[in-house]
Amino acid sequence: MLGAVGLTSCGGSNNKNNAANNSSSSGSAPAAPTTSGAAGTATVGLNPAAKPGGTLHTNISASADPPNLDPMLNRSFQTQSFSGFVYSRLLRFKTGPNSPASSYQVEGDLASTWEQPDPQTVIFHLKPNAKWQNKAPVNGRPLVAADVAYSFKRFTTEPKNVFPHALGPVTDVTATDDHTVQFKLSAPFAPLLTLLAEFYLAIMPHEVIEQFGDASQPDHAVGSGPFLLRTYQRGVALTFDRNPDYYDAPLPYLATVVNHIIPDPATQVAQFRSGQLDLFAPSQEDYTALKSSNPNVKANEYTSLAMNWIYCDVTQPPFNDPRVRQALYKALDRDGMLKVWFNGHGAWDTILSPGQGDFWLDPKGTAFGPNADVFKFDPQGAKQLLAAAGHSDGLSVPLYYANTAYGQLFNQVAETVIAPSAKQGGFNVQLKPTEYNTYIATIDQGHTDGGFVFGYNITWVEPDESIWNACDPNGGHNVSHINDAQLTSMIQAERGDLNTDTRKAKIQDIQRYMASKAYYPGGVTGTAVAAYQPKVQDLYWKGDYLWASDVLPHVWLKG
Amino acid sequence: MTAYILRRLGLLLPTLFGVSVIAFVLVRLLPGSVLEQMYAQYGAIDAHTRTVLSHQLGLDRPLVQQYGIWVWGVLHGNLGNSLRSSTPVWSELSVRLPVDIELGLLSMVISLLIAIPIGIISAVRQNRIADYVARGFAIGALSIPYFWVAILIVVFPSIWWHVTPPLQYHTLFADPIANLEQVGLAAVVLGIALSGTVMRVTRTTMLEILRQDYIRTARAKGLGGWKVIVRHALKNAMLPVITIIGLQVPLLIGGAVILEQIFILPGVGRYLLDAVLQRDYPIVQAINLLVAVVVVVVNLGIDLTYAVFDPRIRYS
Repeated sequence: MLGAVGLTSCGGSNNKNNAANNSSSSGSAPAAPTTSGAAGTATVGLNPAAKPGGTLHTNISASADPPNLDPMLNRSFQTQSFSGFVYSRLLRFKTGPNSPASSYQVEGDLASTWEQPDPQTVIFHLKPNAKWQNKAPVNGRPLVAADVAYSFKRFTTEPKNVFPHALGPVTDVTATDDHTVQFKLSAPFAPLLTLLAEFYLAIMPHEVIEQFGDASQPDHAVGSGPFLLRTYQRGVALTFDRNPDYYDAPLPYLATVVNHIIPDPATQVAQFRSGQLDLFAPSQEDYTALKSSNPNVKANEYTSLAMNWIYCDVTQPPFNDPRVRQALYKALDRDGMLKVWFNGHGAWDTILSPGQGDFWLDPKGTAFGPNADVFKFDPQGAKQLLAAAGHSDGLSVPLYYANTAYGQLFNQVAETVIAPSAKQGGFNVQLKPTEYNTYIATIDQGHTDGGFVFGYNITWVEPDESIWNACDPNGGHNVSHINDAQLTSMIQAERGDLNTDTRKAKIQDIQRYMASKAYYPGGVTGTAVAAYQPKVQDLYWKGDYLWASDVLPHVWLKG
Repeated sequence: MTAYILRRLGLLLPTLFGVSVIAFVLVRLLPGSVLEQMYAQYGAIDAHTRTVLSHQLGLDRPLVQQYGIWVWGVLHGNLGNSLRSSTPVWSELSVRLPVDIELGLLSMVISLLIAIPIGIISAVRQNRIADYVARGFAIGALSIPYFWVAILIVVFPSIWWHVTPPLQYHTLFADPIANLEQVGLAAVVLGIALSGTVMRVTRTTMLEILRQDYIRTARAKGLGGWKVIVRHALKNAMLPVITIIGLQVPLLIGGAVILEQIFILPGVGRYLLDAVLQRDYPIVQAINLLVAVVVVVVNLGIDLTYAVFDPRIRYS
């Protein structure tokens, strides 16, 4: 059964940061209904010393305007970041001093308790004091189970929703009474709770959608989340006020949050130095410089979920030959990438990022086994493999990368690390820098023309998202065109395994299998930074998009 | 004169038509559409969803029909809605355009205040130290990237004194001091950059004019040095300078995108750049039309200004 095991450790935890995080994970068969906290009251994490009030100035996920304010019409990180302020989900990720940044343990958001009477049914009990924000057209009415059912229906039928099938085998969501929602599934589905804590199912009021068609305009951004949108100055800032009717009162402590839109990284750093900005996410390089000019700067450093990846079309020459793919694996200097990009702070990716906790199998660790050899930088070994594949004189391949999207360090990695190391391994790399939107429209749709691609994968929390989307024939982002019956079977097995420990083992086997087949050579994931001023208290960062609902409610300002 | 003005304004129509067609076609030649941007990084868009969304956004109509619908809307004052955010384009432009207008005017004034006096001094003191210094300044203004200077202006004070321009943009009327701290600083950077060309042209033209017979005659009649320069030479030297200004003004509408990013100004430049990158056709088309109108009107104004400075020019 899903029960206690799945509910508390579905998101995994980073072994390096493991504290008391998994104290509730039993690893055994579950039994009784599981609770996340007392129904209708504030959840754990209240600090009696916290001072309510104050304005926090941030620049998080705000290098550009959100393309759209409706979280079901647009999945960009800017929109999802906005969504965390205004909208609730059924579940969220736990934060706090005992919850490391890379740990994604779920707790109730709108849901006070939940239970799974059988593998294909999950029942959520909503907090009875939950209500919509006091803005037209909902005007503070109670939030009921029918609202959740409506949101699910919209999620699966809205044409502009790019993830209508993300909740997998969920077939029906019904309100059995005003505060009870029942999810019915066509098959057991282990990722469900983590996905419900992610950005997929924002709970939205039907009045807004029925009256206005969508919630894309600032006046229509009405939710039940911790903050109300006060103003949106495009190109300038989004200003939020505390929601006085928030169901987890006395949270949030902050009276106002202003998320400033600042495109230029140098300006972001300068504004933080001058004290105008309280919280932002600098690069490792900028953070190092910041520490010398602002020695009192505080920071949460954490293993990022944002992983880059390297892929090729496994159905077309030359990469349809596994030996060529293995050669590419061996021709990548991953430590060199880390050095240039993250000052050496980080780890090697598989199909998972180390930010996904102990589902990720470290290619440098002993647990990976002999299949990890392919990750080691071995140019001679790569050349031998190419020779065996009939390319003893080397192999000319294009390397595609979007050079207008991810910053100069990304480009530098492509040009000064990947290309030269691949060349050492026998690949005559032709650099093909591509404007981002052209890249998205062509190369990222899987049109690699015999080359390989260096890019960024989507920031997934749930490991199944990374694996299923990239590797399943029906996956949403199978850019390598993998259609491997055994791999597909392994993916289905892990999805349906409600026991966390056995599921984890299956996912780790998938990574070993993928290494043996040389699918998705993988890049590196660095250590990310959330830097903040000394006056900011109780900031326990989470690496997902919904930091506003997971992290900010507990934050308060000293002085 | 009236007939001339009307004739010139009449040329606006075919100009706008040409610009509208070019803008409409060019942006659609870029690979991908807004649909790929909406699905960016999240995987391939399936055929059914593409069909539904294309229809919703009107992208499945024949191009000629799309063009006709757009032009019809423009003629009725409707510049269309953003394909991504559904926000009316005009509502965005009405907020962003004043930013660029203010930045443009301020930087132009600063440019002229710097360039014209320096250009005159440089010409009058040709081949002396003042001339070398002035020319060095002009070369520096022309060759040093203004965006690099802008970054230094923001970064170094933050390190030395923990001081930066205001974080949030305020309009001139809401908070003039905060506004000028932000826009004024950007205008100084841009004004210096623009002054290089104006100074060089002023100097060259002044040198030519100062060698004219009528200037020698004026001096021979006993007129003082600066009176000759300001009352006789400068007026004639202004014609090429005005031409340069006319060429620079349209660039300021949407062209200061880097400055907007560094100084966090919500101008037209950033709006246009984002729209091009996201293939948001209505925004790109509208801004191109807007710039075309500005170019035509400004050039008309420049041409009329010639008549003020040169009485020999008559428009009939």
